[in-house]
Amino acid sequence: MDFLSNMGLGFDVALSTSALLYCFLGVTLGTFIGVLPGIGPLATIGLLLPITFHLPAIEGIIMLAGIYYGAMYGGSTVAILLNLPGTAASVVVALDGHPMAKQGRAAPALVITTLASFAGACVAIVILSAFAPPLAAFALRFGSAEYFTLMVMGLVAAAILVQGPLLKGLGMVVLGLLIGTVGQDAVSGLPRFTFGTLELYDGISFVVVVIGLFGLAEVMHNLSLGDKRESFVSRVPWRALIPSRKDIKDSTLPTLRGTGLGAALGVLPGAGPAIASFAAYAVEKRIARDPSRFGKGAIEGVAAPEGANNAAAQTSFIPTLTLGVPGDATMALMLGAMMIHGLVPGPQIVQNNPEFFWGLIASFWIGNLLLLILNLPLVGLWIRLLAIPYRWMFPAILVFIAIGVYSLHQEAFDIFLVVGFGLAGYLFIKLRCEAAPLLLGLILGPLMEDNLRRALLLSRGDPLVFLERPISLTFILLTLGLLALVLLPGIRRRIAAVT
Amino acid sequence: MIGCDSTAPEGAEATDGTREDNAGMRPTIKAPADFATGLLFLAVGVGALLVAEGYPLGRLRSMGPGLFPLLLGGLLALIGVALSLRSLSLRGAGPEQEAPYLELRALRPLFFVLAGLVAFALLVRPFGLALASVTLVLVASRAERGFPLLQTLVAAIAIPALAVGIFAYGLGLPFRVWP
Repeated sequence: MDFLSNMGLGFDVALSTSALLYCFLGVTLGTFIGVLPGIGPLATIGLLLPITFHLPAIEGIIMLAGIYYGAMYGGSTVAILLNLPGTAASVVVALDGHPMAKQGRAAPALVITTLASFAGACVAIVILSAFAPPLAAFALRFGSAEYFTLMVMGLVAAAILVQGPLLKGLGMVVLGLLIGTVGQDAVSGLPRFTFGTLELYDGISFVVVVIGLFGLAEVMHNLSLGDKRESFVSRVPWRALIPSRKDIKDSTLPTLRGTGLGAALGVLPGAGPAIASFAAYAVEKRIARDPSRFGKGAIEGVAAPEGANNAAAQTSFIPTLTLGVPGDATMALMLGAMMIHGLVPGPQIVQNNPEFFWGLIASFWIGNLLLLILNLPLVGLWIRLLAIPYRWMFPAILVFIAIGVYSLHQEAFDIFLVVGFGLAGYLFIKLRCEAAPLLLGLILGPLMEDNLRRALLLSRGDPLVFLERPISLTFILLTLGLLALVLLPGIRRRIAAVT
Repeated sequence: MIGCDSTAPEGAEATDGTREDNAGMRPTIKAPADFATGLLFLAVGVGALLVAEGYPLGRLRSMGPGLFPLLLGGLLALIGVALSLRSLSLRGAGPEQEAPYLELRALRPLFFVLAGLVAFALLVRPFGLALASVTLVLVASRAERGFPLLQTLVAAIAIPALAVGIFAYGLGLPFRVWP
């Protein structure tokens, strides 16, 4: 009964006209940028953050969340039809989806992905609404020591999952933490790393960093590729939309397995839709009676990763909302956006802001339903978008960057900062450093320092407090376990072999 | 692969092997990008240490503003050293990773994109949003070779009109739009 009344409250919020409108805007935009290569969900959410600051909190977050999971749907569409994965999570679906399209079975592939996505999301939303409140209740027992070690675990997990050496990921995390210390110290009031400027007193906004590192750097990188950029004009074969009964039968169990795996992986810090879809594909391939069909258009290879990445996209909200510790960079942005609206994600949010919490969850149902309706009939239209030349897109992105950043404080200085972070982001692309862990560090940095300070204050300066408290010790052991897992040779190579 | 973005170049994990082929004793850089990243981390870490050194450290019981930055700076410098050392090969194994390169023609888009943004930043306060965005589009569109003039002009009118419409009128933000 509790669940029903909570969902009732949620739907009251999510079905208001303005919430519906922003949900619709979010998922449409998400599909749009999922389809378009060259601009990812992270950059888009970054670009739209300034706009959402001027909306009511719930509408703003509903829209941003819609972009996030809408991009999952859009990404798979182009991945299947043109073998162009628009997002990291849709790399896997192209493996079997595109061969299906080449065999003239594009329509069944698309329908199955859409249905699998919807099924994955629906199951995950139920899990989210069932598990978030108890997890929040458990987290009420966390003190500063627990939060500090939990954040350490989240950051290490984020660093582990980047490509290349572990040290690079860790370095990016620490760099992010360091950028997070810029500005006036919360306790002593001393300005740190401001170099005598007044503009840096309030610190560097994560909006400026994300727009520079992801939005602007991506634009510059795409432009510098010049002719090497692919052109995306292609005709899409279009047959009957209805998948055969055999297709449905063959994909039901894989969808459910993928959903379960994705929902579980989504909750873990650091993992997310991309990892979930890789894992689901690997599982299907392993248990298949005839693994050689994979890569040549096996429908299980489409259904399972789709169920998994959409399930993970939903359940990754669990740690973000209930613990206040985001699992990946996109979730870190959500966290930052909520904090700017004065909502503090954490155990109290379920009790203190039930309208927000349940309203957001209800909006996931509505958003996924909208996506189902949007995707099936409109696939042809989405594909035609690919013909938009980049030269029309990049000036528009730049104008949005400039006006959006200027709208934060009406300060020209913020635009210079974006230019600086854009250059840094371009350098990171050249040096093969993934910038996502940096963002996580930047957003968690001030929270970490605060919790470290408080934990040490309460323990009267005894650093052993982190080992003496059982939950905190558990987090430390888990972190060490994660590191050991990666440092042991073989495991990393096996991950690379799957991908 | 968690970046959710297509910015990471493929094949970066190739550097992660612990390969022990060849026997030669001359140290070589087998992963130039990693080596440069290590130096960058080291430089930023040391820089942070130098600046943060002046901040009060406090005690563990009541951490001063200097402690956390100092820890981070030191950690970053250490990671940088370790990363650079790791990317060296004492056995003279050849480069496993392509050196990061910067083509000259890649500088053209960089220049015009950044120049456009700087122009916007300088113009927006004295001349208003409309003129600044039009200038941004005009300058930035030079980043792409062979952007037809007529299309440039259309873009320079249409895009700012749309963006200003959304921000200034749609969202009702208190911008100065006109000079």
